[in-house]
Amino acid sequence: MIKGIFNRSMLIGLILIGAVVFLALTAPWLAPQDPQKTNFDQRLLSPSSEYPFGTDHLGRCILSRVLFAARISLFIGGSVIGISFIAGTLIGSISAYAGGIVDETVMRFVDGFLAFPSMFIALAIAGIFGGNMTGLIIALSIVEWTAYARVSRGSVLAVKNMDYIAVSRMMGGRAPYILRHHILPNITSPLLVISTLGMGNVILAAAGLSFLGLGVSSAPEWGMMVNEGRLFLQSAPHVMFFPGIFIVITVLGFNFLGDGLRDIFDPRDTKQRWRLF
Amino acid sequence: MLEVKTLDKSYSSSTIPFRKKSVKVLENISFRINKHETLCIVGESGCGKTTLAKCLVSLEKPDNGKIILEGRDVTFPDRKTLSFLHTKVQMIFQNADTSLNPRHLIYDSLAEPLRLQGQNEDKVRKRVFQLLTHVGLSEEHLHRHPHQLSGGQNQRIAIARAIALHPDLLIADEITAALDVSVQAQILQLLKTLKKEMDMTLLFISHDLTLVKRIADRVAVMQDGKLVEINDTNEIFHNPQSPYTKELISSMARLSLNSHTPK
Amino acid sequence: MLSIRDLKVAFESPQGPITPVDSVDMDILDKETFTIIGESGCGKSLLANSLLGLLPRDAKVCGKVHMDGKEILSLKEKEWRKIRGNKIGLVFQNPSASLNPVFTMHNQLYETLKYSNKPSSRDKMVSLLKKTGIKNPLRRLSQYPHQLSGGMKQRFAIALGIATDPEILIADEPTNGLDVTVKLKIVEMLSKLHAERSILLITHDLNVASNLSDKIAVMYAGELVEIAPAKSFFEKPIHPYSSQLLASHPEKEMIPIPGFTPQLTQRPHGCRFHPRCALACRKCKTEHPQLEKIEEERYVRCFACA
Repeated sequence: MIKGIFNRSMLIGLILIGAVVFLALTAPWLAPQDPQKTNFDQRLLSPSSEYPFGTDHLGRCILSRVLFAARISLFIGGSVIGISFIAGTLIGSISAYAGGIVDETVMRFVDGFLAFPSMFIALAIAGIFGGNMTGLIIALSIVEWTAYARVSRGSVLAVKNMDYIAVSRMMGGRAPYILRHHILPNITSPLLVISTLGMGNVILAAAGLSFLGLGVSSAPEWGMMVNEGRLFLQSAPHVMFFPGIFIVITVLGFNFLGDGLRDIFDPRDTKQRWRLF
Repeated sequence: MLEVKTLDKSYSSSTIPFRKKSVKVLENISFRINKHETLCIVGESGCGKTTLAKCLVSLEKPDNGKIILEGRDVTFPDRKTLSFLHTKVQMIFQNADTSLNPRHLIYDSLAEPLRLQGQNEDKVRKRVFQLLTHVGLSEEHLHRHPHQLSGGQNQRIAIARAIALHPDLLIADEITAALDVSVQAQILQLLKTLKKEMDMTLLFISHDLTLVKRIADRVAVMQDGKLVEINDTNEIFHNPQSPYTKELISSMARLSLNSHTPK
Repeated sequence: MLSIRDLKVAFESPQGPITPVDSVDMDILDKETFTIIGESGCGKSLLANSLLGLLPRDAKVCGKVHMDGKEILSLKEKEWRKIRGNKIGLVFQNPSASLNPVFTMHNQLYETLKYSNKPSSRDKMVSLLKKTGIKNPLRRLSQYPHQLSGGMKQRFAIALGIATDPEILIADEPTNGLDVTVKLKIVEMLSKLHAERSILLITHDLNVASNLSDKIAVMYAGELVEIAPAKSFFEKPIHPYSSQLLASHPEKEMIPIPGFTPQLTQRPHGCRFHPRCALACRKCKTEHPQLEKIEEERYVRCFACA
C-alpha cells in the first residue's frame, strides 16, 4: 500500500536515524576506548587522532561515551514510546468504542493527567527514584501515554460509526473482534506519526532530565554529558558540543521521519486524486 | 414472515441532563412483510426509513413495540436470538465505500461472515469464489482493495457478502442511490436474479419512486417517522390515498423523462 | 457564445499519460441551456473545471476555447480572475462541502460580489436570494451553512453563481443528493433562469437533463459521442451508448448496459464503447470514429450510425 511512496522528508529522517541506530548497535566494536575509563593525565584534550572527539574532565574518550550513550537514549526512547503506545492505545480505543459513561469517565481521568505540567511530573517522579534509568522511563511514560490515548480515541470515534463496523456487528462480530480486525488497522496511521515524533521528544526530555541530574547517572548519556561539559564551555567546548550535536541529529531525524509519514498518510493515496472526475 | 408492531423510537438531542429535547424518529410503525415479496419503503431524507431498517437487524434498539420474525420475538434479542437473527436477515448499505473496510482485501471482506461463523479456511475459500462468480465478478478482484474498484463493483461485493449466509430476508437501504443509472440497472437485475435463485424476501428502501414502481410488489410510504400509507404497488400509484403520497407521485411525474418544464 | 475546439486535459500517471478529457468540440449559444450527460468517470466535471481554469497544477490542457470571440484557455491567472466568477459563473457540486462552514451566508455572498466589483448592498443580496426562491432572505443571510437544509444550500450555491450576473453559468450536478420534491423545485427555479443567460449543465441525472435542456451532449470515456437537440434526443437517441443508457432508466425498460466503464488507463482500441455495444462490427474494434454530422444539429461518433 505504501510501496514506492517515499518523500524527501521521510528519506532524510530514515538516513539520520539509520546512522544513529547503526552507531548505537556497533558501539562496542566501534568505540576506540572504554567509555568509563578515566585517565587523569589526559583530561580535556582537544580532538585528535587518538581521541577523535577529545576527552572530558575525567580523561574519558568522548567519542566512545557518545556512542554508548546512543544505545541508552534509543533504549529509553523505545521503552517509553513502547509503554505509552500500548497503554495509551488500549485505554483510548476501548474507552472510545465503549462510549457513554465509560468514555466520559476515562477521559476525565486522562484530562486529570494532562492538567499537570508534564515537565514537573517528570521531574517529581524522576526525583523520587533518584537518578536512574528506570525512574526516568517511568516518569516519561506517565507523561507520554496520554497523547496515545487521545489520538487513538479520536481515530476510533471516527471509525466507530462507519458502515463496515455495523456490517461486522450484523454478522456476529463482537467488540474484541471488531477492535482487532477493523478498528486497529484503520487507526495506525496517526499513531505511527505521533510515535516517531514522540521518539524525538522523549529523547530530548530524557537528555534534559539527565542534564539536571535526575536521569541516568551511572552510564554515559547525552544530556548528562552536556551537563558535565557546562563548566568547560569556554575552555573546552568540545565536551559539550559532541553530545549536543548527537541529540540534535537524532531528534531531527525522528522529526523528519514523523513529518514525512504524516504527509504520506494525510492527504491520502494519490489514487484518490483521480476521483475528481 | 416478518411483523412489526407499534414501533417507537426517539433520540434525545443533548447529553446535558436537563435540556433533553427528544426527536421522534419512529412513531407507531406497524406493518407486515410477506414471504417472497418485494416490499419497498419510500420516503424523503429524515423520514426514519434507515432507522427502521437498523431496528430490524438489531443495529438500533426501539423504545417500544415488537418485531416478530418467523414467529420469534427479535425486538430485544439475547445472544441466541441474535445469532438466529443474523442468519435470517442481512442488510446492504447505501455507500459501498464505507461498508467495506478500506484496509481489507476484498477477499477478507467476503470471508468475514463465514469466518465469524467459524468455518474452516478451505470452506471459506470455496464459498468466497462461489459468491464472487454469483455476483458477476472475477478472481482478480479478490486481491484488490475497495478503492481500486468502482462503486458498482463494490456494491456487488457488498451484496455477495450479505448473501453469504443465505439470509431469508434481505434489506437494501438505498443501495443504488449513489450509482449511475446504467450501473443501477445492473445491480437491480442482479438483485432480482439472486432473490429468485435464493428464495429470498426483499425489503428495498429508496427515495426513487420510478424505481420503486418498477420493482415493488407492495409499497410503504413514510413521512416524519410515521407510516403514512401501505398498499399494493398498483393501488399506491393509481389510487393514492394520503396527500403526501399524492405529492410525491406528482413530483415524480413532473420530473419524468417525458415532461418538459415550460420555458 | 462559447466555442470549444479540440479541448484535451491530460495528466501524467504512474502508468503513463492519461487523458480524462479527449478532443472535445462543442458550441454553446447565447441563452441556451446546454447539458452534458455522462456517468461517473467520463470526464465531464474536469471539462467544466477546465473552462474556468480551475484544474490542478499538473494538468496539461490544450485546445481552444473562445468566449465572445476571445480565446480564454491561454489566459494568465490574473486575467482568468476577471472572467472566472464574473463572466462565467459556477454552481459547484455538493454545496454541503463547498460552502465555508465558518462564514455566514452574508459573508460568502459579500466575498463573491466584492471580488468582482459588483454592488454588494443588502438589498441586492436579498433580491438575489428571492430570485432563487429562498424564503426569509434577511434571516437566512445571517445564518451559517449548517443551519440550512440541503435544498436551501443548493439554492444558495446557485445564488452565488448568478450573483455577478455572468453571461454563462456552469452548474455541476446541481441536484445531487436532493429529495425528489426538492429536486423538482430546484429544476423549476433553474428553468426560470433559462431566459437570462447561457447555462452549461453537467449531470448524470437524465430526468433533470430532459426537463432543463435545449441541447444534449453525451460524454463517454472522455469524448463526446452524441450532440443533439434535447427533444429529438430523448425521443430518438442515435448513438448506441445513448440509446442503451436511456433504456437502462427505470422509466424505460431498465435494461442494464453490459460490462463496465473503461478505466482511464485501459481504454479499448478503436471505438471506446465497442466492447459493450450491441451493434459493434469489425471496423469498430480497430478504427476510432470521429464526430460526424448526420442531420441538422445532430452529431454522432459511430460507424454503425453514420
